[in-house]
Amino acid sequence: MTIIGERVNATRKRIREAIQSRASEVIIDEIRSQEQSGAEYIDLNAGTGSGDKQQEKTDLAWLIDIALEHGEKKLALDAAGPQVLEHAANHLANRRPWMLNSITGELTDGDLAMIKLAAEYEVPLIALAMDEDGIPAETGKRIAVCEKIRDAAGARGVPEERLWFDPLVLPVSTDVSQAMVTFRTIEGLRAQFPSAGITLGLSNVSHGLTKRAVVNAAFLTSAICYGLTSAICDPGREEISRAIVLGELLAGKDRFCRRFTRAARNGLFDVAPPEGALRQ
Amino acid sequence: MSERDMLEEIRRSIIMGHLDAEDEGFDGSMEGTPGTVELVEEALEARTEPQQILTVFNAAMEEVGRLFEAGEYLLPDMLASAECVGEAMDVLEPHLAGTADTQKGTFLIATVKGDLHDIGKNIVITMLKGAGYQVRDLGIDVPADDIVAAVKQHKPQYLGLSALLTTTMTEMETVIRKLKEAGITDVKVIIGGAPTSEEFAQKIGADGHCRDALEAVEKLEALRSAS
Repeated sequence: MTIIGERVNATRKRIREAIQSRASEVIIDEIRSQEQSGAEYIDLNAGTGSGDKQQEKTDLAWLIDIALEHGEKKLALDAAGPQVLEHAANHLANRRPWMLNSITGELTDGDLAMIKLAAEYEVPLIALAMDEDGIPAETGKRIAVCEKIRDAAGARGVPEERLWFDPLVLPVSTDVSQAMVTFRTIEGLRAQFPSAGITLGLSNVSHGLTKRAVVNAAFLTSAICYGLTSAICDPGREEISRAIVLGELLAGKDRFCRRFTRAARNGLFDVAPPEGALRQ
Repeated sequence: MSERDMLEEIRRSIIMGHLDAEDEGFDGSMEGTPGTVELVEEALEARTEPQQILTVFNAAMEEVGRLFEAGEYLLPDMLASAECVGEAMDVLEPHLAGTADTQKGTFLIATVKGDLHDIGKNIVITMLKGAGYQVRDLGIDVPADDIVAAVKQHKPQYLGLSALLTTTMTEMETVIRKLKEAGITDVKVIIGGAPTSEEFAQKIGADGHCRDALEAVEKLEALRSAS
C-alpha cells in the first residue's frame, strides 16, 4: 500500500494560515510526522481558494522548497489547473521523484495539458473516475470513464502503469449502495488495467454520518481487499494504520502475517478504554 | 567468519524466520541481509560439515517451539521458521547424500474419507518438512483403500491421519484395520485432529496421538529413536 499523506492541503485552515503567514515550522511538522507514519508521498496543495493563480504558484513553490529541505519522501503535486502544476514541475525540476494529482475524465484542455506534463516528466498521474456529468453512480460508467482516460493518456505518452485511477466514493448516508459501487469499481479496474495503480480518498464515504473515522477505516480495509494499491489519507491516525494493516492481512498481502503480528505486539490494536471506565 | 559464528548465524536466522535476502524477517528489519538459504550456501562453500548444519536446524526449531509454547511466537511465526528449514533442506540435501543418518524417513499424511479439513494437516506438513522428513500429502477426503494403496506404493515409515469431525474420526479405525488386513505392520500410524485423543488412539490401535503440529514433530522423533 502506497500512502499519499494528505495533510499539507490549503483547504485545511491550519495549513492555509501557515501558508499565508509563511509559518514554515507548521509545514515541516506536518511533513515529518506523515513521513514517520509511513507516507511514501507527501501531497502538497496550496489552493487557498482565493482564485489567485499567481499566488498559488508562489505558495506551492514555497511548499516544495520546504519539502525538499526538510523531508525525504516523494511528492504529489496537487492543484486544480495545469498552469500552477507546470510552474511547480519546473520549480521542482525532478530534484525529487513526484506525481501529479489530478485529472478527470472530462478531459478538458487543462486535463490534456496535465497529461502532457506527466508524459514530459515521466511521472505518475492520478485520474478521477468522473467526467463532465459528475461522479457516475454505477460501476460500469466509472470504468468507462477510466477507459476514456487511459486512451487519451496513452495517445499522449502516459502508459497505463503510470496512471493511478481514483474510483471515487459517494456517501453511503444518501445511498447505501455506494460503498459497494466503489468496491466493484476497484475490482473492475484491477481486472481491466492490471498495471495501473488504484488510489482513493476516504472521507467522502462517511459524509453525513457519525463515528466517521470508524466508517472510513472499515471502508479502507475492505477496499484493500478488493485491490486498492494506494490511499490518500492521514497515516498518523491510528484507525487508518489499523485499517491498512488489517486490509493487507485479509487481502493476503502480509507474508506470515508479520506486519499484523508486529503491529499487534507494538500495541496498535490495544484500544484504550473510554475515559472514566476504569475509575472505581 | 568462524564456523561457530556461521552456525550461530544460521540458527538465529531460522529463529527469526529470515528465509532469504528478500525476506524481512520476524522483526521486519532483515531485508537485504543474507537469510537462512544464503547462509547455508555460504557455510557449505566454507566446507562446513552438512551434518553440523542439520544439527543447527534442529536446535533452532526446538527454540522456535519453545517460543511458541511460551506464547511469544504465534503460529505464522513458527511456520516462517519451518519454511526456512524446509527451503534450506533443499540446499543441504544433495550434500547429505552418502553420509549416515541423512534420512529421517518418509511421512505419508491424509485427511480421512468424509472429512474436508486440511488446515491442521498442512501445518503438520510444513513443520515436519522443517524437521527434515520427506512428506507426501495425499490430500483430503481420502478413502481407506487409497491410503492403504499409497502405503504399499511408497513404503513410508510413518503415516499421519487427520480428522476434525467426530463423525469422520472413526474412519481412522477403518484405515488401521485395512492396513492390518493387507499385512502391513511396519508403518507407524499417528493421528491428530480436534476430537481425537490419546485414549482414542490406543483404542483404534494407532501408535501415537498428537494435539498439534509441534507434538507431531516430538512424537515422530520419539518413535524414530525408539525404532
